[in-house]
Amino acid sequence: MLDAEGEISAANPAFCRLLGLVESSTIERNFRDLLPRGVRLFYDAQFIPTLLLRGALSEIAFDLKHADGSHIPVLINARVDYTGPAHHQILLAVFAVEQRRLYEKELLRARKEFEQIAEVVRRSSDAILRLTAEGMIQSWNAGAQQIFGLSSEAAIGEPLSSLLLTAHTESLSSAMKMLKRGQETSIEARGRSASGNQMDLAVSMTPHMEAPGILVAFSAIIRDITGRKMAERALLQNEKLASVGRLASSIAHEINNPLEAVTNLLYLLQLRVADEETNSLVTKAQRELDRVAHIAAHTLRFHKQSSDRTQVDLHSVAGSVLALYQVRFENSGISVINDSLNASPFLFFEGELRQILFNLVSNAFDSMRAGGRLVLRCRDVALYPSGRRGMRITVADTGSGMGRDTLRQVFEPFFSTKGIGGTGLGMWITKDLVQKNEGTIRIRSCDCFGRSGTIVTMLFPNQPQQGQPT
Amino acid sequence: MRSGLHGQIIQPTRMFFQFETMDFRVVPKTAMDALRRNNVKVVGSGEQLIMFAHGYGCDQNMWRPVLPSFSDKYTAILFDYVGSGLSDSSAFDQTRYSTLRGYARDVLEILAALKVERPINFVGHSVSSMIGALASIEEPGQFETLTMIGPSPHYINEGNYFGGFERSDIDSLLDSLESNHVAWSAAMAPVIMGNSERPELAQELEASFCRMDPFLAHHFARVTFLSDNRDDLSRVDTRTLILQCQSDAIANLRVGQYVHKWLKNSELVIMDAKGHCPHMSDPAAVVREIRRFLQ
Repeated sequence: MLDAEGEISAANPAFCRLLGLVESSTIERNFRDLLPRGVRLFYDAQFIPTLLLRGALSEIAFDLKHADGSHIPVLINARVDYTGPAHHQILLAVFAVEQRRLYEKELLRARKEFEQIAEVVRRSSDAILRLTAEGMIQSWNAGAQQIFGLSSEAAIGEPLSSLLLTAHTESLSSAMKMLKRGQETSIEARGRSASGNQMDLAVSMTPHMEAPGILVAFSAIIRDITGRKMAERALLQNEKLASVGRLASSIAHEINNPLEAVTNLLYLLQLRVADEETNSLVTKAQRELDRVAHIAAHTLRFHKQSSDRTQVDLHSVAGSVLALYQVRFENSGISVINDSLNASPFLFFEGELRQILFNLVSNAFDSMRAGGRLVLRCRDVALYPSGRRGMRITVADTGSGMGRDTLRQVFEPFFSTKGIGGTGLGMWITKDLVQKNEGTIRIRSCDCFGRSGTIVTMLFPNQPQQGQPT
Repeated sequence: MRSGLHGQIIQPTRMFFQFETMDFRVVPKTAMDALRRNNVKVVGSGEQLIMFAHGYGCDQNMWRPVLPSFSDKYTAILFDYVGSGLSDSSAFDQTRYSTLRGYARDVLEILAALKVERPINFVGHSVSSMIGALASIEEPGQFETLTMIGPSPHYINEGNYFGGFERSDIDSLLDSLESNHVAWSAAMAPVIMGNSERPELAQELEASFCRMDPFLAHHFARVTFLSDNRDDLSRVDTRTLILQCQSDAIANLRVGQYVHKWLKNSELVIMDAKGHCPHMSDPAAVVREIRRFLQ
């Protein structure tokens, strides 16, 4: 029995024997002094306030100090007794629980260990599931939630097969057969998340057997390998691209030798020509041949570093690109506007700009086989939000336009709408070149009948004038 | 009927009705979260504001004995720290609450959520003294005064500093908490809120006082007893009252004197009461001192 301040006002002989104390010396001691210091913290901070508020507490574990210095684990039931206004005393019943405490300690330790392992499972980024022998989901962790976008409430009780596409039912059932025989097994399958996305999954399953050889449950570890699969596909595509590049360079290389021979022959031919008309034909042939040489050289440089930026007169570059198509434009009834006279000279890789414009103009032409209008416009602008000076180049046509699906894939390599005639590389290269010049490219397009067309807008920031003579 | 201990028993419903009538429509969602998270209750309608912050080991109910004495002039703000009382344990974030600063942030978020317009008087018991100090360093304008009941900036002895405990003592406290996991879990069962028509429900409520999520109690104990906020004391500018019990096993007299020495603007009152919770064991004396200080 304790008074309001915790002084022991009465104690029975059993209590004194428990602590190895003489009965008379027990009285008037504060109960707090019988506690090891750390336990005192618990007593003062948690036990006493709670006891005073609740009026009673039961089976609270304490350690008491024995007279010989050892600690005795006890359980205490406590009750507050109100003897009058502003007076109360505390009644304690104390039981020694040495064996029980040891057992509890062991239980606690085991539980902690279990919780740590459970935590590993819970937080794993792989889905780790427990399943019944019939394949019904019994547990669901954070990884599973992440991969499938399903809460545990929604998933538990559902069959494992519901996570996979129906195409895999067979491989799953043969996996189940192996599990029943006690064999571990793993499959690769495509699954579906709650939002409808499909993904590649690696599922490895481990049986839990009980004697005599009965499958009672199994576990499945499911890993989302969509990223890995995508990387594999990208690698494959890269390899394809690289081989195309190698092929192009080797063709260009092979063309170079006869080209040089023809150039020399034309030169010799020109020396022998006397009349004016023939001479101008040869000059024309030479000019066209120069262009072939230039293209071949450019193809060879495809993977090499471009030469320096130069001040480019956009009007003349745009004009020369449009000139390549002039005859074809006229034949198809396409009117062309080159609106770039007012653009300031711009520091650029000229060859690359030419290629960008060439790709866009040729796409525009392909979309306007039945005639139309093409506008190529260059304007000085201030870029948003940096306010930096820059150049906006727009290529707009009134051609057949593109649908949403086409538009989404337009920059993907090997994506083409031109059937056998297209490589599917033009826009991909264009985007690459634009980005290399720190520009951005945007396409708006509509394939609705009557108002179809495409507008490609590119923005390039001004380059600082380094390396230029001042 | 028990009536002796607290002098006056507060009907549980009285503590909650004010909360119901407050207009929360204009409070943004995050602010609502703070009020729900910390189970904030606003009691009374006095002009001045007083915020009571419980210490480790209990919840806002520990202020019941002193609360009625402030209802004339003050509006009292009560709350539970995350993991204590009826707070939302799911709001627990190990990193945020790994130092007392996280708990201090909760205090400031509660004030923001309540759209408190004038500086408040903060009364903190035990670890809340330091939480209040940290909050006042963060936003001094929000605090008119601090009252610290049994404060300690550091519980562990270190060099010349006498905190009263060794590291091993704290470990043994944590052991005690673990051994009592089950006893405290039992009280975590869902509670039916008070209904004054049916006194047996009030009793049920009583049985839930000082609920603590056992896991979070362990965490709060670690943060409380292993923190060292000695360096923060000198950064507090708010006028402070330190209530120190003559014999307090948790925060001893020397610790109280240490706090007084380092707080620029503080008054130390040594009370006759014994133990660590004078506001529960001798509420009248605590009320007297706080009211005098706030005058």
